[in-house]
Amino acid sequence: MTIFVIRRVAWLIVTAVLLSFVLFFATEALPGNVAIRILGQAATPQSIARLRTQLGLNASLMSQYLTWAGHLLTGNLGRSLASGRTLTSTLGTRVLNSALLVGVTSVIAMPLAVVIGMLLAARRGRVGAEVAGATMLGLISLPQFVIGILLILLLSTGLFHVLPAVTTVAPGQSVVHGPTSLVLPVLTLVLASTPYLARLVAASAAEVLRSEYVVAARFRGVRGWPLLFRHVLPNALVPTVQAMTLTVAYLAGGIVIVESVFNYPGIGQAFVSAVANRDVPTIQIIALGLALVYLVLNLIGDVVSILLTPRLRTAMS
Amino acid sequence: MSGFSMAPVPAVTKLIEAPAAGPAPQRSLLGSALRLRRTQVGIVLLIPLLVIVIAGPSLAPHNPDAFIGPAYAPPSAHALLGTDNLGRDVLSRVLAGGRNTLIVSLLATLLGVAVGTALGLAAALFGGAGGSIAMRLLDVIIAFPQLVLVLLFVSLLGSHDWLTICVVALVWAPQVARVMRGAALSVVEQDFVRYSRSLGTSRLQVLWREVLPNVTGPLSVEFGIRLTYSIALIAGLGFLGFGPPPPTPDWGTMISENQGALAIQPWAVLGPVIGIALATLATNLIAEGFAQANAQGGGYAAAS
Repeated sequence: MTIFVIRRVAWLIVTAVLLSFVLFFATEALPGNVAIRILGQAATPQSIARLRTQLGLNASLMSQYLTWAGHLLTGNLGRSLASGRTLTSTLGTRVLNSALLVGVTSVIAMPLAVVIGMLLAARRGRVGAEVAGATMLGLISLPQFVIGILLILLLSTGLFHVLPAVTTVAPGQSVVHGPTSLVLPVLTLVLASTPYLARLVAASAAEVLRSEYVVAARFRGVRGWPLLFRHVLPNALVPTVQAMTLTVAYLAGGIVIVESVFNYPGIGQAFVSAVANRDVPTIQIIALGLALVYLVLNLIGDVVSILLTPRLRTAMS
Repeated sequence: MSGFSMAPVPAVTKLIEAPAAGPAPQRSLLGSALRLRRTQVGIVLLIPLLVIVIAGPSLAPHNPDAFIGPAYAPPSAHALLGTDNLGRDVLSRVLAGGRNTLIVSLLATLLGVAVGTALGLAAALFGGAGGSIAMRLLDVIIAFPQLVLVLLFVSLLGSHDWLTICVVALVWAPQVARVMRGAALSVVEQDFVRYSRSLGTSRLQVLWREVLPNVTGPLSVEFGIRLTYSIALIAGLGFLGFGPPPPTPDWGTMISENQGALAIQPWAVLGPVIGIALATLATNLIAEGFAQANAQGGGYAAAS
């Protein structure tokens, strides 16, 4: 087991290095020279040369990469090309905002998905479950920004604009720090991620419901909620652990669009404006950060699902 | 939902584990998918979209770029869905603004699924350490959220249709490769593939003649799912301001142009939103139909 974890961590590090390498070369070596990007079309050859020396761009790409990676490892994230401020200062609070958004969403979506999934499996074939299943399928099909816009229409500008939680989050208005500005973005992400997970839980629970030990428990007279939540749930959850951690990773990527819909001050919004401004250092850091989040969550999902599966655990040792 | 890139839906996973037997029963898979309600609903939803792709711009009552009245005018007999932020006819822009998104999505998906399938099948057939290492390298691409990867290239190279097609294809290829490798691995082990190999058939021919026809099930599901995500991703690009240059009508771009006036003239946003929702619903429902047909054994089991 320990060896497995060490191997996985080692592989994560190799992937992370490869990833940063690909990212750096893609952003630095592709056309659209950095110096011209900063100076604009009016750049003279002299000013370009001066800036290139200043930015250390005359060194080989490899040594530039090593300098960049070295700085990252020591916590020096560099400066934004757009504002000239350090990325640590421009992105710090944004990272917290986005983490809050993803965290609150996960805390709501996961238990919700488990409950819905279990009910879908237990009530399979009945009208209510069929309707719920079709609704889930519809929600899965919709892009996040479509869900977000429909929610704004439903809750803040269209049908109901009386809901107190929503009034502060009028679209276009910059979001002040306050719990109310979280409501619509969280709701959007919950609606976008829960159906997928719920369907996975339902599929997995349906399988467990057919297993011999559940049949045996039924013969012993266990039924209803105790059967579902004490006997079925533990085994039904294990196959979905991976999907749960990947959902968090998906949310981390989904913030790019949801934050733009609601003008939420997180790193997703920062990424979009960095792309519009061609602010390469900001783009590099956010892309790298989000990819690392994915790798780490993937690793956690692997390890946790092995820890929860006795068969795999013994196979490891 | 936009850019949902995760493990395949359960139905797909089940198919991958199912034993494959004999030549491809393509017709029965299509047949059993068509008998499902969700596939039928999907196809009905697809009809207005096909009309928009084929004839959208010529059905528009006004020139989509012409200023026909005041900005954000409510629906009237002159402009059935009202006007947008610059006083252009919303209905005409909705009718003309879907073609580009849908065609670019379709081309990107075709390219991505083709490349991904080729990679996945090759990795399964040539197998061994090389195959595993190749799949591991593709993990590097999978680690980036799709939209982030696409925006990364847009920031470097600007936004062009050809670039969007290539980048979205690049985003899907590794994910498709993963699924198709899984599907092909169980086929490669089958006796008829070994038999064919023992006759001296070249690997490429085995791939084309024996393996590919036996993975059409997961292939069709992958195509439908990726097409759904492509539409979401490409409409999302427009929404974020990286769509075709103005004044070209484009669904995603229209949403962000008019989002500020949601309270006064919701139709300027709802029109394109409904278009996008129709498209993703239609493609995903059809994909689900195929997934269920696969899981029910509409393919392999029926033939064996």
